[in-house]
Amino acid sequence: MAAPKVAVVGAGVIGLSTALCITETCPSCSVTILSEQFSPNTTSDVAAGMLIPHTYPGTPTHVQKQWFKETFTYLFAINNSPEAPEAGIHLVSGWQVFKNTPKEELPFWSDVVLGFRTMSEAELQKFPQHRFGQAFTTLKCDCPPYLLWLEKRLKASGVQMYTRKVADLWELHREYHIVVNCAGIGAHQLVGDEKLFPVRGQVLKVHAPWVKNFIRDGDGLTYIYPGIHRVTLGGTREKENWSLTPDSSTTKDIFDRCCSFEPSLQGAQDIKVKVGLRPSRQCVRLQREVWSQGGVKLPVVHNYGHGAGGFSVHRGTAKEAARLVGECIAALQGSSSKAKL
Amino acid sequence: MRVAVIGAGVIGLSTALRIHEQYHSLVPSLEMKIYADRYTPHTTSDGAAGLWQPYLSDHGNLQETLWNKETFDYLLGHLGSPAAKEMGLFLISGYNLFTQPVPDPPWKNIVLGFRKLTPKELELFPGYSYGWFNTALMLECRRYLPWLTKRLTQRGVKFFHKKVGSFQEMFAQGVDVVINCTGVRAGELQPDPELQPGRGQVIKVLAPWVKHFIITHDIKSGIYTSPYVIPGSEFTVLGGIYQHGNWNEENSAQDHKTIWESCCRLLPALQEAKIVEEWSGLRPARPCVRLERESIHHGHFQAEVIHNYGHGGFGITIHWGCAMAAARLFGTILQEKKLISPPQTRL
Repeated sequence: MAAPKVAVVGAGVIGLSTALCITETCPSCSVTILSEQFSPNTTSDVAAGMLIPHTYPGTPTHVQKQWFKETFTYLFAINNSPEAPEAGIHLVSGWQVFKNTPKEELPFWSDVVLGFRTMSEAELQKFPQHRFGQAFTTLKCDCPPYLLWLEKRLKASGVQMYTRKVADLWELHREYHIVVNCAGIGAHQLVGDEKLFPVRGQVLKVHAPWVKNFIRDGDGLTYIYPGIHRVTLGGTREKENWSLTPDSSTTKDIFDRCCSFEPSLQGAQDIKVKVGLRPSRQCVRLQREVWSQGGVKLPVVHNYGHGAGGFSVHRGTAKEAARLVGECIAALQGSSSKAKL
Repeated sequence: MRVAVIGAGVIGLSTALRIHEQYHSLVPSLEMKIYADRYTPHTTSDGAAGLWQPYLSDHGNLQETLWNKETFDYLLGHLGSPAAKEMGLFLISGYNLFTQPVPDPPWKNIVLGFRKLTPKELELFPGYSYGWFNTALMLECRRYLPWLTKRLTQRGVKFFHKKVGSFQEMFAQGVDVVINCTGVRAGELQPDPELQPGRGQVIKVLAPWVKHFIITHDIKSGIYTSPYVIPGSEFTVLGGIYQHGNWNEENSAQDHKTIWESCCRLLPALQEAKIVEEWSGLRPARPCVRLERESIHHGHFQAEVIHNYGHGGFGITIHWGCAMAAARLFGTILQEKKLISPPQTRL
């Protein structure tokens, strides 16, 4: 197969980074991205993009750690390059605080982030309702900049991008040899995955440039993440809520919770409210299949269901998806050579 | 009781406020006036980035370490208040970098979360093999000085835009106590060979992706002679110039080049940063802060001067501890004049 044609469905952080990995591992591939939405209208654009992993109950810890480590290492290198501001990548330090000491004081990722340690008593005084805390430095991918930077690199590699709502992956079998499904929450409808469900998150993006440290409640519900231009205040975790409309009482609740952590946020300006549906699943669906219909075969690689942790593992899962695409190509080449006999 | 404060930088305004807050209710006749030839945003304090951080060593001046601590604790206490944003006060974390191991600083237990850098963190800074991480405070004088001014104005303190020629000039007007917060030009009121300018220059840029302060150190050449990057609420300050004895307040093209090149080497992404402003200032350097009382005979009267100057590159860091100490000296003067009673001895 001279130039395998690969279609990547989805242009959030997963779709774009997967497409990029495919161009890296398979330079002869012709990669096209098809998506209903592009930045700034993807789920990824709503996220703060903090590299703090979410735990997937259905994936072995060592695999999650590998994905996180690969992602962190990749972004760390960009952070140290002159491209960092354009790519929206920067370091941020802060605290994760718990009202009650967690069962696991040392999460699996504690040796991947920088300078991880337990907070001192003096530091905890800033959080009178919290008994335990962790301090560390991690990376943040600001969106849209990171997605736009990925798009720029993709275009430079010859990848075409089209706005297109794909209703059924079979639509693509005539034009493409392999389809990569990075449709995020869209996979619920696209491939009928009942195990995929939204966890609705509402956030506020505010102007508060004096906030230089992140603060996160260990329960994952309240967080303050300073980005390059805006601070993301969150949030909510509403299972099975499909509404993309901002809720004003939720806005007030988020603002109040964040102000109780950081009173100076009362002075925040220009509050923008956003909603995203985390594409949640017991485990990330990262596998390849061969679809069959009426004698036609379509290799499909799935890479979706990253829930609350998409940014944290995006590069690691993208590399794995690219590897699976490589397997699909090898299988196609094997079967086409068989056909010649 | 007439008090004149000379100087309206961070030292002058904070000392004025502390004295007025502590004693005005006890001494209703207290009348305070502030005299300065420069006000915010044209004082030395305004040019400083505003990072709370003392020098690496206190050279045995434990008094100064205590004043630094008092300032930090005072500011930390204000962090949660609604005034913090208006004061220009916020928490910030960051790095101190060295090319060799150094002893821990006397302020390691004052700041939050002080620790050594891990090997992976040092990868961020090629050329540096040792360092510290801690969380400290920023107090931006472009906001803090107006905030102090507002508090003073509300208290009825009057401001005068005037260059005072001598202490005698004040006493001749009937001032009882002069608070001398004249910073680097204190020598014009009373010669002080120990006071020298420590000239600094900074470049202010737009680099909002920088969230940490980064201070490098060259142990051999001395404090502030090595690049530093300090992100503020609007701009990021790039610096690394300390020239002892240089009175020139004009920006130097050579210093600009030094700062720009060394900071871009430290953080390559800064090359993309837009330059917004350039500024030079004179740190009021002295082997130790002059914080003491001096009685000056003026005709038949004994007039008092409380000196509070010579805070070098750590004025913001130490200001409140010094303001409190100056206020205590003021209290002693009030007791001597029998305007207030001495503290009651417990039987």
